[in-house]
Formats: sequence, C-alpha cells, structure tokens
Amino acid sequence: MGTMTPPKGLVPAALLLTLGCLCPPQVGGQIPVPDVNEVMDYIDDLYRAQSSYSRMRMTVVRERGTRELEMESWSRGDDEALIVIRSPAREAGAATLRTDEGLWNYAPRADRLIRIPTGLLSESWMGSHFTNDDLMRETSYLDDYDAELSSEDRDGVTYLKATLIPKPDAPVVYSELVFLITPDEWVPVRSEYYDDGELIRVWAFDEIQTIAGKRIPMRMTILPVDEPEERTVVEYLELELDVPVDDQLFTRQGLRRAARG
Amino acid sequence: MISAKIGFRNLARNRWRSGLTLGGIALSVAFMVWILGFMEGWMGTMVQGATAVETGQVQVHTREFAENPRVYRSFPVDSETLQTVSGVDGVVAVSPRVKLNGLIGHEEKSQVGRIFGVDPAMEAETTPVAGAIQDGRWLAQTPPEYPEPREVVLGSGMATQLRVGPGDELVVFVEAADGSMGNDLLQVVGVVRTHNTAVDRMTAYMHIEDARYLAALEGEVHELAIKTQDLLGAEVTAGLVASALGAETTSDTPEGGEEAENGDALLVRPWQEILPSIYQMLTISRSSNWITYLLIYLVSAIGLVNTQRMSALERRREFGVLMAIGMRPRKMFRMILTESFVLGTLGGLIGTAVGLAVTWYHATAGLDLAMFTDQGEFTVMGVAFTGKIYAILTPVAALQPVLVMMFVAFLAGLWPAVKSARLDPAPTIAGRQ
Repeated sequence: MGTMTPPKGLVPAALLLTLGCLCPPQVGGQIPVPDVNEVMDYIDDLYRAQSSYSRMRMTVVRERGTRELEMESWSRGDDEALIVIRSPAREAGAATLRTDEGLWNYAPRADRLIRIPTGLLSESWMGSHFTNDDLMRETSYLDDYDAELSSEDRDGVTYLKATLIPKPDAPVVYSELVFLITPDEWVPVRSEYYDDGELIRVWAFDEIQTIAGKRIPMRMTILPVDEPEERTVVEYLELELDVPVDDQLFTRQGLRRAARG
Repeated sequence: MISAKIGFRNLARNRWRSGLTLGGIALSVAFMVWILGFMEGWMGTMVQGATAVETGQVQVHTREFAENPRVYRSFPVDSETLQTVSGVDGVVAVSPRVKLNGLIGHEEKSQVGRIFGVDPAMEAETTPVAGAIQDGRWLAQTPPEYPEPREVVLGSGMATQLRVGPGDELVVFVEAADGSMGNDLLQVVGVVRTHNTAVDRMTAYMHIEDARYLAALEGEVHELAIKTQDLLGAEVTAGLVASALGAETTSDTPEGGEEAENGDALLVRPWQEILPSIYQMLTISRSSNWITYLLIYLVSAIGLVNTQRMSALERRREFGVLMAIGMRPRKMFRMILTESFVLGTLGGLIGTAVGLAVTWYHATAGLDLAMFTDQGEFTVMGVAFTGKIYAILTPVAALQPVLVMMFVAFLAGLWPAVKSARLDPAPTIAGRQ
C-alpha cells in the first residue's frame, strides 16, 4: 500500500450529492467520488506512509496528576513499528515493538521483552488513554472494519463522515467508530468511539501541517467520555515520512539498541 | 411412673411393629445427624477455601480501595500498627499486602495477573499459601540483592498458562501509583496450588518490598489480611480491630452522607461482607436444614401416628375396662403420649448413636466426593474441592436431631392420646364403638 495523494480541489457540493447514497459514482462528469476503501487506506497510512520517523510528546492528564513522556518512534510498512520512551528517567528505555509476528513491550530494567496478547490491544498503553492498538495500529481501518461514507455538517462545516463497523472477528472492542474527515484534503479532525451505541471516547486532531505532501494533524487529543477531567495529548515534535529506516530496527536486537540509545 | 411402665409394656406387646417404627425414627435421626455434620464440614471447607488463602477472615482497606481498588489508594503501615492488630482479641495473624494488577509473562506468552506483595513470614502465618507449594519453595524473607531478579511465586494455573516453573524468568509490567509503568525482571522460585481458583489462576506473590519498588509505593500497603481464631466470629473480631485502629466498619457509614465520607479512612470488614455470596450460601444452607428436617421427620411422624393409633385401636376394650374401673381420662392421655414419647426418644438416641458413628467416620476418613466427578476436582464458587469433604461433629449435630425428634414424637402422640382419652367406657366394652 503506497502513499495516496488526496484528490485536491474536490468540490464539496458535488461531494454532497454523491455521498452516502446510491447515486452513480460520478455526477456531471466531475472529479471522481472518493472511494471508501481509498479513504480508509489513506487514513490508515496517514502517519506511517512507507516508513516514518517521529518524536512525540505525550501528556497524560489524570485525576491525580499530569505526567509527560517523550518518545521516539519508527515504522516501516504496515506491520513494523517501534516506540521508545526517552523521558522521564523512571520510564526511559521502555519500548513497544510491533512486527508481523505480534506485539511486545520491552522492560528496560529487566532487559526483556514481554508479549502483549491480542486481548490487550484495547488496554491502556503505558498508563495513558491511548490503547496499545491506537499507537501500534495492529488493526487496520481498511481490513478490520466495514466502512461507509456519508457527509455531515458540524459547526457549519461539511465533513466526510466515515462510519466504521468492526468485522465479526476483528480484535476490536468498539461497536462503531466514526471519523470526520475534511472533504478536500482528507484530514481527520475528529473520531468517535462507540461501545454498544454509547460514545466512550473522542479523538480530536489539530495543528495541521504539510509533511511529505500530505496534510497531517500534528496533535491528537484523546478525551475519555466517562472521565471528563482526564485526557491524553500527543504532539508530534518531529515527523518524517518515507525516510530510510534501518532494516534491523524491528528485531529484538534492534529494539535493545534503540532503547538503550 | 406407672404410665411409663405400662407404656413400655404396651410397646413390648407388639415388638415387631414397635421395632419397625423405632427403626424408622432411628434412621431419620441418624440421617439428620449426618446431614448436619456433613453440611458443617462442607460449609467449613467452603468458607475456609474462600477466605483462607485469598482474603483472610478480616480485611482492612481504605474506604476508596474497598469501593474501587486502584493502585494509588494505599495507606501507610508501620510495625506498630501491625503489632496493634496482632494484639487484638481473636486475631491469630496479620499480613500487610500490596496488591497490583499487571502484565506478567515472557517473549512467547503473557497474562494479566494480580500481584500480591507480601511479607513472606507474615503471609505464611496468616494464610496457608506457603504450605500449598507444589513445586519449588516459598519467597525468601530477604529479597535478593540487585541485579538479581526479584523472586516470584506463581499460582499453579498461571504457571501452566505461561509454561514456566521454578528457575524460569518472567517480566512484569504494572501501573505504578504515580501513573508510570513499573517493570522488573522476576524469577519463579515456587508454584502454589491453593485450591482457591482466583489465586491459582491469576495470582503471583512477590516480596512486599519488591512490589512497593515496582509500584512506587514506599512504606504503603493496600490491605491488611487478618486471620481470626473463629471463622464465624470474624464480625466481632472486625469490630475489635476497627476500634483498635480507630478505623471504621461498614455499619459506621453515614446514610446518604457521601460528602462526609472520607475516602482515606480505613475500613475493616469481615469475610461475610467481603464475600457476601459465600455468606449468603452459608445462611441459606443453614435454613435449608429445616426443610430437610421437615421432609425426613414428616415421614417418621406419619409412621409414628399410624403405630400409635393402630395400637390404641387394638387395645380399645382394654382401655374401656381401665376407664370403667376408674382410670381418669387425663391419665389415659398421658399413658398413650408416653408411649409415643418413649418410642421417639429411644429411636432418637439409637439414631444419634448411629449417626454420630457414621459422621465420625466421615469426619476422620473424609467422604470422597471425587467419585461423583470424573475430573477429580470440582469448583464451587471459586473454591476447588479436590475430593474429600471432612464432616464436622458439632454439639448442634449431636443434640438437635434427637431433641427435634422428641418434640415431633410428642406431637405425633397427641391425636391418638386424645382419641383414647375420650373413650366412652360402656359402648367400648360392649364393642359398639
């Protein structure tokens, strides 16, 4: 799956006519209507492209206090990713590795890896409001969900609305996922996670920048609905897409080297 | 006295019939003795199994932790506090615990588990865990020097699940009190099989100091687990512990006053509150004993009424003569009543003797329930029974069935006795009635 270039200059009005209905895929011979698979594939790959390198700051606001982590992250293709915590000192070196064989946490004190079972994909990542799956993207919007596109007005702006229902055997705990995406540049602005029809958490995306020709939100905020005082914010301090990444990085040895580095 | 003598003689007159009735009564009483003894043993095993390893009989937590356990809802404990608790009347031992949830495993497999951070000696005094070692050994009293891995003792189910045994290394990740992720290297030193499902399947024991370091909980604990002398008296002991610590019991909760409630206040609870389902089951089974009484004794009572009525009818003329020569109805009434009372008492005593003998046998040799299951083990409410249940002989089991039977026999004798006392001598002797 390569990087998709968003169809620029899509006319919103034409879009409205064609979305979420059984209308013919083209209206008046204009620009092609977004194909739902294309959109989901684009969102899937938004932050990782063919390969990526990033530095992030994560702020976890809990009822009992705030903590701030700095992390470095690499990814290659759809199946390989590595996140290493750099600060604070107590947690520095803790890392999460994803390969096509599974997901592991690296315990720096123990200098050992521990496999994260699929059942824990929806559990908190390192005590944040992010889940293992959020950061490691074990599941794919394209492959694990049945998606449907429509349009929706929020605050006077018309967005593409992607409604995702997990496929029966997908390792997903949500009953429904909704993405609001800008219709022209395919930038996600908000996603909503439902469980049994009830909204349980919201992601907000902002601070959009252009990286490698893509419009990408550099800040994500997770708001758990049942804990209105709490949130986790991830800011990209640095994001490079389609950069060369060391082949050996996504192995246990590579992880150790990166974690200690 | 004369009525008792006549009563005995009358009973001896139809030995076959009296003997059969007596046997029925004895069997009922023996059965009840055994049922009471067995239920006591079953319930004891149940409560013991549910409380002994996991909770102890009384627990101390912060009120918030009791409502919703979170790693940061801990409280400080020093040796003085522990001394105070140990000194309370009815307390056998106390174990301070740090309770964590985390991911335990290795590169191939891992599992979400509970970690009990314990003082090895105090935990061993409070619970039978150290004696339940199946493989390896219990935790050392002093944790190993760094950088040696921290010692861990796993429940047997967890060890099987992770495919590890003594000597193997594990990694643990837990959420610490400050919100960070604590991680450490563990080495399995022992595997326990406690027959408490929750412990065996998902619990790992670590030294309390190691657990505190892991979870950033210096000097803090989540729980005091207390072993009491008396299982059923745990409520009383809980009250005493609460006053010794200046802590609260559940009954102190102000009604609807959630504002006034202090989440950090210590709450002392007996197992009856911690494991309400077990307690309910105990209460229900106690009262269900009376249903068993009703069923079993009803059969005996009907037999008894039948015997007495038959024998009174047979002796109708005799009674007519007795009344005719001046026996007062009251005396007649008493005589018949005595007969059935004697039957009930005698049968009851024989039954108690037989029942006690059988129960005593099952109290010492145990009753093997494994024959009812092909798995050699079955689980009821989180307690694994490995086969043998040991009946418990209590004064109640020895005395209650015979006393209840005496009362039943008295009731059963009333109707035949009243009937006989109301005989009209003349027509009865003449055979016209």
